[in-house]
Amino acid sequence: MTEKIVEVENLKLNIGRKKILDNTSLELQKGESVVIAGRNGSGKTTFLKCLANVIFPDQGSIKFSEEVPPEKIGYISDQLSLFENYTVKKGIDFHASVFHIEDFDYTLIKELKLDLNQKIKNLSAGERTLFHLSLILAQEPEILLIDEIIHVIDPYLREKFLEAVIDLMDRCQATVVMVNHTFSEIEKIPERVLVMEKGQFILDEKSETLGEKLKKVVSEAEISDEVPRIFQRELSYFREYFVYPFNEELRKKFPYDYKNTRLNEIIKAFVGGQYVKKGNQ
Amino acid sequence: MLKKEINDVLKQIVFFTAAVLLLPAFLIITTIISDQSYFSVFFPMFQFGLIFWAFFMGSSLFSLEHGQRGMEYLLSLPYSRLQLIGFKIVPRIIAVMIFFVAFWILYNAGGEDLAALSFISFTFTYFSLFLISLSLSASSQNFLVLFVSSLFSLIIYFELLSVVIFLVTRMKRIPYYRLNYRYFFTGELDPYLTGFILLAAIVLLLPLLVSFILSFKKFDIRPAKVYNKRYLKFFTPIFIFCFIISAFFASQGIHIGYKQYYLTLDLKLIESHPYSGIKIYEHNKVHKIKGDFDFSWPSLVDNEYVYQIAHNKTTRSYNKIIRLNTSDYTVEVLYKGLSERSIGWRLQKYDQTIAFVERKRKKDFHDIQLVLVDEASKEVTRIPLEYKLLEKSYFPISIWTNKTEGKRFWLISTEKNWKNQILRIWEDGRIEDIGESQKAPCYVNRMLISYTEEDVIISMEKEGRFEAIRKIPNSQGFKFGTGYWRANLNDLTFKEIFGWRRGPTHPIYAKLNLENFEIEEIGETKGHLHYFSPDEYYFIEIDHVASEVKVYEYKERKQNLLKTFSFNTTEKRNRFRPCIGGIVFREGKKVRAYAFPDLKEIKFKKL
Repeated sequence: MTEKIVEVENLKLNIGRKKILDNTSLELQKGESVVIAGRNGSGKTTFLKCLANVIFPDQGSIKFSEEVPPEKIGYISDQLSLFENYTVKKGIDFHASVFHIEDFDYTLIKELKLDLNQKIKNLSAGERTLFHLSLILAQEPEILLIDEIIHVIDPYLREKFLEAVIDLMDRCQATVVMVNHTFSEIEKIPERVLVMEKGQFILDEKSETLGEKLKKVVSEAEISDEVPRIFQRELSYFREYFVYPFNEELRKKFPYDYKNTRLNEIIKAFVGGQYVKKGNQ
Repeated sequence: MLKKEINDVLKQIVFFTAAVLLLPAFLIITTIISDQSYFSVFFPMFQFGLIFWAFFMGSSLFSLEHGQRGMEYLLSLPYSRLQLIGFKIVPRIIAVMIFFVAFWILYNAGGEDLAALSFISFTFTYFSLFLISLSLSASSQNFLVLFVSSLFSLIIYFELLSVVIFLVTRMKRIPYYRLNYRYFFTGELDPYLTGFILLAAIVLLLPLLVSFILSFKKFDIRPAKVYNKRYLKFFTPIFIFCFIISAFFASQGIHIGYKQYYLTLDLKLIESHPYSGIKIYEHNKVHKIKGDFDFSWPSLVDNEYVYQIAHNKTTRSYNKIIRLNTSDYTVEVLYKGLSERSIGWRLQKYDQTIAFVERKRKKDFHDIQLVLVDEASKEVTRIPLEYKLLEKSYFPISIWTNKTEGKRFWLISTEKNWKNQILRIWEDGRIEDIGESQKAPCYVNRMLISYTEEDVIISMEKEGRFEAIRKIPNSQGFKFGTGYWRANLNDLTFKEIFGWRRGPTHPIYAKLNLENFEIEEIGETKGHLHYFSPDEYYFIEIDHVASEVKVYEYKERKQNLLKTFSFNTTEKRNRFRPCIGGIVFREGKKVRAYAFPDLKEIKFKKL
């Protein structure tokens, strides 16, 4: 049984004349892990900042369930925003006092061998990310919002980061919303994939069903125009077609070699498709 | 969170304190500034430093977060925007108050003489700048932009307050200058009016603060222009509303002016209501005279005629002479000079001619002329006076008149407490230099009374020239005179005139007997002398502590108490007014008149 934890309704947000969010709506369930993808400027980060209370939408509403008081929302921004003149220790103390954290868990800090007297601004991007995560995890958040930061950290720290997130999901049944471009490292995390374009979600699928609904056809010749696709590209000796939505009826009518594809490629296809659309407009 | 803010502000306090304490010490030690005490260098720096401190405390609300890229983190903390403002404002208000109290203590401990701004001006600027910069603190991340916009807004704010005051005075048809609004900043304005101007000023600040709070409720990390647009959306209607409220408060304080009263010799009471005409009360009658007249402070009274030097409302120069006839209740403009010229305070009259001195208002009050106006024909004769001693700065100029060998002359002299040149001007325009006097001279019983450093010199005319006939030692420095606002002094013969000098607590008076030329010291008197006639002398003592005014008559070498008036002497609405005919006393809305010599109350039924 699912439990609704956030309900976002008809968010609208403009910066100048540019629409950033355009009637964006979404519901998030307790414990689910969601990845939001989309091309640059599609509104992903803004949407996440709205959830984190860092940006107020011009219109629309964001309702959190009673289980989610403000101190149970964890947010790691793409800027890794912290009071960077603070030392690690002072940063921890401040965060603990604001979020009423009695026993701060230093495990991650120790694993990273961070000097507590070091200023936050002197930490490397990876250290700072993990430090920020350790602050957020100490809140035991009901919702964890992570903006595009995974790509800035090295593989070792990335693994540590993801382990910690997965552990949180297991331990606290936390809802995790990540904004990401690259899926190769996090393919196992998302249960739900959202693709955003022009401030609206153009794809909202469970990961498991997404693989069923999107297939890839690799062919030297062109395939029928009647086969629905979100993206196609011409490579040196062959063409790639990303067929969506796919069903068995389609296979019977157009018996091409429909292949399963990985999440990373699926997202790339959706994003690529939007670039092509934009080019054609 | 509050702890963090308190720590941040404490650090800023320490830094600021160190700067204002050490900078003067550095300047003195390095002899960049020499021969000055530490305090005399410190205090002016401290005062200007505090102006910057007020700005800094207001505008630095988010500067630390901006500076360390922590704004997004701050906004993601589990606090509402209003809570965030609260955490940030409280320690800053305390810090601003702490330094204000420090300033106040130092100001009273000798800083007053060193202060570049008066206490009221500083206080007003300090708190206004703090609140203005606070309300603009979220409008930009750039400190310089905030500094310039805060200062600019402060200037606009002061100007707006002037505009409100100006509009109210226009609506009430009161000349703006009569309000003396500038005295608001020196604390010399009527407390009642000051209170309402202060209210008007606070209301004018509200649009900035309310717009800040309302727009900050949805403050986020979007570009500042988004916030500023929202701010302006709130600001515009609130500003219009508050401007009206501010004008309302100002209008409550700014009134058309208090009615002024003057009791004439024939015991008629003139009520001057500035800019709305006059009324003349008699026992059971009242006469209204419409017009823009004010006879609240007559320059000359001659039988039924009361003369007033009136001002030009546009140019503010006192360039008109108006005359009220209390018998037929008419007012006439006898003379109207050029607007750039001003009439001196003393008028002299003989037969039908009014004489006075007129000069340019600006540039050292130069271009002095003796002006003679014939009351019947209104013909004007001007005699230029090119004597340097009368120029350079403004001093009242005394004027007397008489005839010798059938020829009319006028004596004029400045009323300085040091060198005064005495001139005699003849009808044909000839000017004769009579000499100098170390105190303001006077002319009485055809005698010119002038002064050297040590003596009183009595001169009389002999063969067309003034010659000293007596030299009376005056080591105590008494200054003798006959008083003003009466015409035809020459028709009166004085047996004696009074002189005075400053005493330790009260003035010390003396009499100069004009028959045997002896000075008789009266000693320390209660109050100041109010001249009336050659035989009657009244002393008026104002005691602000006891809230009373006592009137004494001087008779047989004694001061006898005639009447005590008890009222709040510092309240400007109350007015105690000695006039030629007696005393007019107003307390609140009640007006009473008491006639000389016994100060018996005169009842006016319609008053």
